[in-house]
Amino acid sequence: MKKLASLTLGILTAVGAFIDIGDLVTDALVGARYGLNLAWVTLLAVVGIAVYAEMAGRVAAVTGRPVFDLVRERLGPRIALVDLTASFGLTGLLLVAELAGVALAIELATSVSYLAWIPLVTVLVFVLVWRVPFTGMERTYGVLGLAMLVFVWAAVALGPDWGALLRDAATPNVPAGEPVPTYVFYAIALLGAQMTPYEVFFFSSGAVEHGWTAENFLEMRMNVLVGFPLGGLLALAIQVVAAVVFHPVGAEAESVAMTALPVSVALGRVGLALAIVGIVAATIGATLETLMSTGYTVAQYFGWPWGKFEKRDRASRFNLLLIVVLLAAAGVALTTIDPIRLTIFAVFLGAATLPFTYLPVLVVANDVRAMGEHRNGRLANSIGTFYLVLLTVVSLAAIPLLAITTAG
Amino acid sequence: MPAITDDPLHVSLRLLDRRVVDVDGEPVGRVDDLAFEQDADDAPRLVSILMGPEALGARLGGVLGRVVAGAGRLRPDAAGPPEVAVTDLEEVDTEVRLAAHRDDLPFPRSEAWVRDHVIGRIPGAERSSSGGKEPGGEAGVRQPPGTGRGGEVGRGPADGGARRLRASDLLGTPVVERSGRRLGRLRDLRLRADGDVHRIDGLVTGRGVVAERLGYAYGEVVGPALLVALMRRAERRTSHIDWEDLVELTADRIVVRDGAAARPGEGAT
Repeated sequence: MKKLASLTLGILTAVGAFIDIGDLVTDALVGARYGLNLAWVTLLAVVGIAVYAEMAGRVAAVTGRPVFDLVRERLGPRIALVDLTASFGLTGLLLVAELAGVALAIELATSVSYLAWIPLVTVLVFVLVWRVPFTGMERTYGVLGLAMLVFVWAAVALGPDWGALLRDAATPNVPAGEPVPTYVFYAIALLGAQMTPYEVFFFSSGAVEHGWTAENFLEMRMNVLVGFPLGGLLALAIQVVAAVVFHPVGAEAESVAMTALPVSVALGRVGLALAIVGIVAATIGATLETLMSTGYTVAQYFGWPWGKFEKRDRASRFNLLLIVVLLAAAGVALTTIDPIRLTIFAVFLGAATLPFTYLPVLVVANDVRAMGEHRNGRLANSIGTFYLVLLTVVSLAAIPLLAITTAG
Repeated sequence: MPAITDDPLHVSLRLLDRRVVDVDGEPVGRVDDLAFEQDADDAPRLVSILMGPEALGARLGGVLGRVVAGAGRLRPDAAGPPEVAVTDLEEVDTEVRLAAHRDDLPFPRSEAWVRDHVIGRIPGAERSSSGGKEPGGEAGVRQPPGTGRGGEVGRGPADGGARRLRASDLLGTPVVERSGRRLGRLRDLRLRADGDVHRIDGLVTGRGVVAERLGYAYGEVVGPALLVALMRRAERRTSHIDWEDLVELTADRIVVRDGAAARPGEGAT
């Protein structure tokens, strides 16, 4: 249990990022529409985010500086401000979606409109941020998020033709009759959702909050190696159950209810109940992760004291910012804005900002003076370079593609 | 031991935008700008680091910069941005460490204001209890000399004859040769130790300065191979100019002697 507890930062980071409301719906949507023909994106994302999270975690452990600190330091005040505006804006939009997502999941269980739940969820999140220490927060939602494993159970129980699924996954192609730009759009949206910058903001800031140093590399790496593959596994499980239940009949899945439906088909009420617990926990985790990340980025850009380990009156601006952002997000969520469309749009645009976030991490991880003997080895550099180039291409392609496909 | 050990020291890489921490390593701000003083014909010497939105606004420039700077001037008793004299720095390495404890600093004031008026009033906001120290309480007594608010420090020798410059006044200014040839905007300043102080020794211009900023130009960042190669190319587009070749310095432009711009590998450091 103690071992599990020490892995919860990675699990919360990954579950909150791979299984947030946007992914929940997007995974089901692409599973229903494309079968497993987009599964490769999730594998690509898991490797990429794991490599960069490890790098960011290592830099944070050695230098005590989380990602946005490095962005400001290496990119200068202007470019960093552009990156800050983009990252803060997008993470804020995702926060709106997550708040609505928690409420939608509760609606699923209670049949009471999600709009009624948003104020309650907001109060709950405030209490969590205000009263619960970082590790407690991390443990509760990291562990509860494991209820999402019910999707893996459902995939097995559905007894699909694994051979055919594997063939689809291994030889991806655009299904007949589907426009290619839309397929590419969803590929980028998935990549953007699964490699979203707030993961490294949160993970590296969490590493600093934990007080990790070079002596905690093993723990940090275990967090990365367990957390992100687990997140990827859950994402794939959602794609699989949607592919099995919806793809053959050509049904579309574009709601939380549709995401959970295959589980109840496979496992009945118990499965559905577990799925709802998992979805509520994962979206609350994602809410905390996005909310904290908006605070981390701003505080680190300006050099404010930040963090949950700081006494409140030591990091007063940081805490005030969290409160203001949370209230603003709740206000926007109450306008009945469609959280699903909002989040697909946000993660897609988020993909365009990725190089700006990952470049400084890669650079500082190679800084002899800052990192000494702990700087990147050849493996981290090769994979890091590959992803930097890939993300730059994605970034350049993102905006024109949005215009062509009008967001799917 | 002097805090600054690098010689030469490139301010964009080593000082500007670095995190500023107190003696315990707790963050207190970032190096948002630098103040220099120039007496008579000597090259300007670094006197202090500036922090806070007012200083940052000057770095950002434009309308946005004015808005940010304006936010920094909301304090009723504003007398320039928070400032710490270089002599009160403990260490300048991968971050800038002050010799003082954060509770003894009169800034950041917005942190204290938000604490006293907003956060401290919400139930559950525990007061700090670090050794019974009241934050800021003893600032007047224990404040080390020279760490006061802007205007009080860094004024240098009391003779008052020194000309005061900020890094933001210089950086971004177009550099031209006397003949009119444009050398691009000023992107970095090179400082050299001169006795106890650091003086501006050279100017760096050109588009390749990204290599300096990221740390590739001086061999501190050694990978990955693709970026090293790209940055080596970028470096060729920077020009280094010795301070002695400076002819005229105004708010709009910096004029230097013809042929003053040396590319790396052409003799200049």
